Amino acid sequence: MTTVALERPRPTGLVGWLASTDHKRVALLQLGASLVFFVASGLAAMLMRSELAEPGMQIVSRQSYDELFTIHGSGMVYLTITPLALAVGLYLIPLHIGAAELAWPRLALLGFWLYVAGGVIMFLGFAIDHGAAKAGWFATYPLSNAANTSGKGQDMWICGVFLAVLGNTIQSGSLLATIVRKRAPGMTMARLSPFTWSMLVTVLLALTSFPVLLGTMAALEWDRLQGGVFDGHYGPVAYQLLFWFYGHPVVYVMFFPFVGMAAEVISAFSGRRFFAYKGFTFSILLFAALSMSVWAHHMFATGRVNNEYFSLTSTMLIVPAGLEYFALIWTMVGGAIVFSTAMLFAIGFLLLFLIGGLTGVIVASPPLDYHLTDSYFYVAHFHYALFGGSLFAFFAGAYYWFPKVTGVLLRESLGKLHFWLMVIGANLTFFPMLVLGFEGMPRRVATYPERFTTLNVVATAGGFVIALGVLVFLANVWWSLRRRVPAGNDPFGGPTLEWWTTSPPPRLNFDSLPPIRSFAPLFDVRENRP
Amino acid sequence: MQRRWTPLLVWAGLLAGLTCLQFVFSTNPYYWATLGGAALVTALLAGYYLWRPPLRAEEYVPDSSYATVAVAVGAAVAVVGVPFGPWLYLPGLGLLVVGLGGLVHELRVERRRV
Amino acid sequence: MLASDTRAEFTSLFSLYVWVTIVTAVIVFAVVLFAAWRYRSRPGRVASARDESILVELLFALVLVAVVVVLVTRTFTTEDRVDAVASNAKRQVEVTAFKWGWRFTYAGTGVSVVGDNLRPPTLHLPVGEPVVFVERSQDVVHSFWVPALRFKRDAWPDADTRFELTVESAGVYAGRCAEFCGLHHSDMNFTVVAESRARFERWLAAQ
Repeated sequence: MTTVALERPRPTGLVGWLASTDHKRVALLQLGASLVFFVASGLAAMLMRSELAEPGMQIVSRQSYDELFTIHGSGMVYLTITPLALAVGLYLIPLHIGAAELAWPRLALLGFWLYVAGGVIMFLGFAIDHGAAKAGWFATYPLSNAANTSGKGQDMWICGVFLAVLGNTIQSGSLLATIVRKRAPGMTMARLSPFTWSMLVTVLLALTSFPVLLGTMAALEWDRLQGGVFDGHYGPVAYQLLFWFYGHPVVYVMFFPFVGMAAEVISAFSGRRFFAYKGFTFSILLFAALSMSVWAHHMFATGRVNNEYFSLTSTMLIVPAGLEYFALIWTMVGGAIVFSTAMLFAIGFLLLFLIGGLTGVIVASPPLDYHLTDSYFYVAHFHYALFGGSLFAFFAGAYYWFPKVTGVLLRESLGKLHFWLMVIGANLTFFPMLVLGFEGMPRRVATYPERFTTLNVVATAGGFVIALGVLVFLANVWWSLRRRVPAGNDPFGGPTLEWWTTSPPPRLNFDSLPPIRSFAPLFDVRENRP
Repeated sequence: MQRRWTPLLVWAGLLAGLTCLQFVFSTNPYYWATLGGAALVTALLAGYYLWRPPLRAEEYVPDSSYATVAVAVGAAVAVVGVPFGPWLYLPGLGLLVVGLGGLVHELRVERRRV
Repeated sequence: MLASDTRAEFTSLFSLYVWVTIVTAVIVFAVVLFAAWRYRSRPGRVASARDESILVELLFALVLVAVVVVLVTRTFTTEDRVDAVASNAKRQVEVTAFKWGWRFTYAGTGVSVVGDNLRPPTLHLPVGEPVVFVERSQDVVHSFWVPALRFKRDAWPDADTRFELTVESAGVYAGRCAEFCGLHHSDMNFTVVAESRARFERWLAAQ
């Protein structure tokens, strides 16, 4: 192990946190910021759902509604789930590979502050006259140009997105360098934990696609200030092609770290080494590579892209996705499963993400997509994938790793209540949307015909159930931190290195390391004990 | 520790293969330049890690970096200043430069310590 | 079924995809829930030490590839028919989308119908006859969607898009804009009235 020397006593208090280059502190700050943006974006969604409970406009104006769905989508994608995905990597990767710290730790801190600044700037748009951005989270051109969406709120949105994504990209660079160069002796690439593999492909996706977004946003802002970028022939199409080259990989950046978390949770609570490791690692590389090649499937109904190539690569995603599901499920088979809250959320992830994935297969077919895209069917698809998928897997990881991060256990009773509220809430909210979209309700509408009322009311009710679930989770965190039931180093018998060290880990993570002979070093240690 | 760059090369190869597959269907440069560019960037990253000398035995780990925060805030103000005007982006650039200077100082101090 | 009977094409292809979806979902739900029950931790239960089965993984991968081949083949053949636009179409309608309404011009007749979000226009079409549409936007990107025909196509400001539709049964159908276009996107609707050829010709003559 590379020995490291520490300089002076650590700065304490607020400054000690806000300017810290300890990867664990940066990660927790980023987690906290993501949570704040999650609540803010969630409140926007609650206002939207309240407005949509009845046809006609009762609560907000049309312009406000447009700002709300723009900020809901933007807040969730740019400011909540992507930074959250990187934050879990920032915390866990050095621990999983037996390192004392990230490579280039200042980059993690830099990325954090760029992201927070971007988020603040985006939300400050609400305080500007003409309001916040209102061209949707992907700002289709020419709607997003200066003539069609006036006001500095839209420009601030562009700057905010640029800064947040720049921060994400910089952090991805640090994580890649860490995985490649800071592994402890014995931790070969073939012994990386499933979670580490999922983070590796995440940062590769980020490093190769996020820079295209940075260029596109800069170009869009230039077009708004000076014109002459996207306003000629093919310009609007070019904007979408460039945007979606980022816009598709980002949804996988918002997915892979969480499927990695689910893999670890399933392995730990099945008491069993992760099954089909080789199949899983190859398929995750294929999955990520394919996800870079599918982006114009968001443009099937435009009539201006080559639908065949993009529908072929999109449908091919079934192969690695199926192999990953095989590995996750077969880890349960033959195990000795403990139904902790973490495991419940992991199982919920498997079943709800499946709906997201299967509806994705449907819309990967252009003749089907011609009807279903830009409708509520599509809204249901990506919410099942991101909410039922990524968020459920995040909660699985939260219940698993909270004790390691804080040293105390989360209450299981409140956890199970949280789980059931989320399951009921998610299905009540998003299942009706499959029907609504199929029956002809477009997305991004503030009102709709009378006959869609009942299903919208059900979806709104589901939204309130979800909100209740989130409150229960926050209450659980607060209560558990007060109650302080000590967790010890290894409350669940996990397979990976972080369970060797104390909860929470010391500044340099490990005072010693066990021998590393496989991707589940702690299972090896436990099995060798007499 | 050997072959740490293999997954990167495999990934670059997959991207290159998917780029070649595009030509069966279309030669639109917006398709192959972006995906092919991604393949190239990944190959370059693999090459970089292949070439880089091994880590030093002892490495200094900072505990905090005020300069980094200054760089971030300065850059943010400079970027949001673009639509508003020089009254905003110039101070941002100023803070950014101060932060970068501080960063250079921090790194020099670090190098002397190891 | 005529090539441009988009509703029938959709229904046929969708039934294949729904079948695959439901079978997959049933299998996965069953396996997961069964495994959760069968392999739950109880006294005496020891977890298996096996962690790899390359042969099973390869076989499963082959099954998945076969599913991909079936779906892609059916999709490509369906799409060729749905996207095809006859070059010698008898009837052509020019669709112009704008913030926030539609104008429909029946090519060669001089008849034009226009409406906006306050007074949505009506698009009359003959039943059983293919109609070619040439679509364009005057400002931002809009999208012409008739849910009953299971079809939408975007309208662009910088180029025409062309598609062909055939309505197989008479009736009144909703039409919507399906690409967010600003303040009155929610109300940028139109109505499609599909009627017998005779009635359609009479309507056209009366304009």
